[in-house]
Amino acid sequence: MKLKDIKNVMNFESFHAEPDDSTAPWVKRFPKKRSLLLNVSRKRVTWRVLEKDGSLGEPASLEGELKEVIAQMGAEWREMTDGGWCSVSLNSRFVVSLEVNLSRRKGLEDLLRTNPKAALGAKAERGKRYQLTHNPESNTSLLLACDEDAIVKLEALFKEHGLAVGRVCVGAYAMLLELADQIREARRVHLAQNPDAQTGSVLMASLCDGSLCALGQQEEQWTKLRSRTELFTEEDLAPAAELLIPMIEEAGSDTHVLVMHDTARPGFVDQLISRVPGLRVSDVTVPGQLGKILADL
Amino acid sequence: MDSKLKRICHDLKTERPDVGRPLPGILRLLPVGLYLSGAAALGCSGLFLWQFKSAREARDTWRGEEAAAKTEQARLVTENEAISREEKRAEEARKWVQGSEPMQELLVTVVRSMRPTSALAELGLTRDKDDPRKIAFTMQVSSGGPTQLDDTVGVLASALNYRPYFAQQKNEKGGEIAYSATLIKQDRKDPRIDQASAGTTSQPSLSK
Repeated sequence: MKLKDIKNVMNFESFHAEPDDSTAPWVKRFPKKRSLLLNVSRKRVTWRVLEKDGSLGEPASLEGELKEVIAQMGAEWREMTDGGWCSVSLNSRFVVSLEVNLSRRKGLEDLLRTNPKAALGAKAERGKRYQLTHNPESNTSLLLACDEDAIVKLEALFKEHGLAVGRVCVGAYAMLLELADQIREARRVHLAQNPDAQTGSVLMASLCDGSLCALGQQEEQWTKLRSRTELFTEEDLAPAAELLIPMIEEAGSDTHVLVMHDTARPGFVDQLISRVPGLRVSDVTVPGQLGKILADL
Repeated sequence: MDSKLKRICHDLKTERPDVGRPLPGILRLLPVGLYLSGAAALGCSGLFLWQFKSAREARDTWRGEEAAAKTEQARLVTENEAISREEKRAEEARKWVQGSEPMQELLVTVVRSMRPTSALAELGLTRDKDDPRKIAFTMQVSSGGPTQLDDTVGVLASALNYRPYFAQQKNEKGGEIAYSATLIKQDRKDPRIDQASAGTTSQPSLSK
């Protein structure tokens, strides 16, 4: 036992999750400390501060690649945080796929992080980092693959500017999982009231700063998934709608579309309705949606 | 998604190999106990220090009171000694007064026996140390002569029943008479004592 360990016990640090502990919620890793929540796209970086009391600060953004933005904002970001800790959402160099009949043995998630080849077999590629989410109601799973090179470079860049990366995630994928959770909870409540009822078809779409992930669900089964990066801009949301329309048509006109944005885009729902009259579309975005997911709020 | 991990966002960062899990909350008792022990130790130290100071102050106070008491005691002892001395003197005075009480009637009788024309130059009454009944009587009559001396000795015998023994009379220049005798009080009611006394002692000089 080192002196530092004793010191950490005496100041109760040992009873809190470490900042690097990815199994602990963000707010428990940084209790009463400020941290920075970033959304990094290829040509734009947005951020907002998570205050000591757990509230989100005002959002801000800067056009340009991360390398240029961090050179300009690094010092200011350090001032905004206690210890320079950041939770980063990547909006590029990732692929989400829908898998069937993947192994669900215990410890697979840990193995996926350390040895993807052993966990995924032939599906694993070199230079990728994976995250796997199973549908607890069916044999389908969502598999996120992200370029390891992009993550390593991002971590090095932050470290170079005195910042520490506490989490690297894919915002669009995280929002899609949030949508899937909401659907599953709604199904559970609905089936509890009427066990023989049909929940029908649902299309979930998460839009995050140009990236889009869409997942179709028929009853409890995940049926179709599409994900694209750099698909749309704030001025032009049509490409996102164009991607969703075929999925809606395939699922049927009675499908219920749930949309979640990183920041509010009121015009998007109208675009979908104008393209498919009578479509049931719900925008479940809450203020500071991406920030809340990045901070586990 | 596992419901336990529902609220935790996924993480793709490079994992640090030595990330430790938080210690169980129950172990917070260790530092809490240590801090409480430290606080209790400080509290006890403060209490003991305060009590130590109080005890020292009390000790100093008692020492001061002890010194004052000793001074008072010494003063009282001195006063007691003075009182004892005074008492002793008073006792001696009382004894003298008591002792001189039988002599007073002698003295008064001698003074009353003096005629107006007579003068008494010196009078001595000394009780015998070994036999208090015997009184050494000395008298020097400067004027009045043998008559006055006979009157005085006669009054002592008749009024007080004192009889002189071993009487000596000496006539000096200017008509002064120096007289000395041993006076012994007689019990009038027992004539055997008178006879015995008369048989064993010499006759007073005045009766000659």
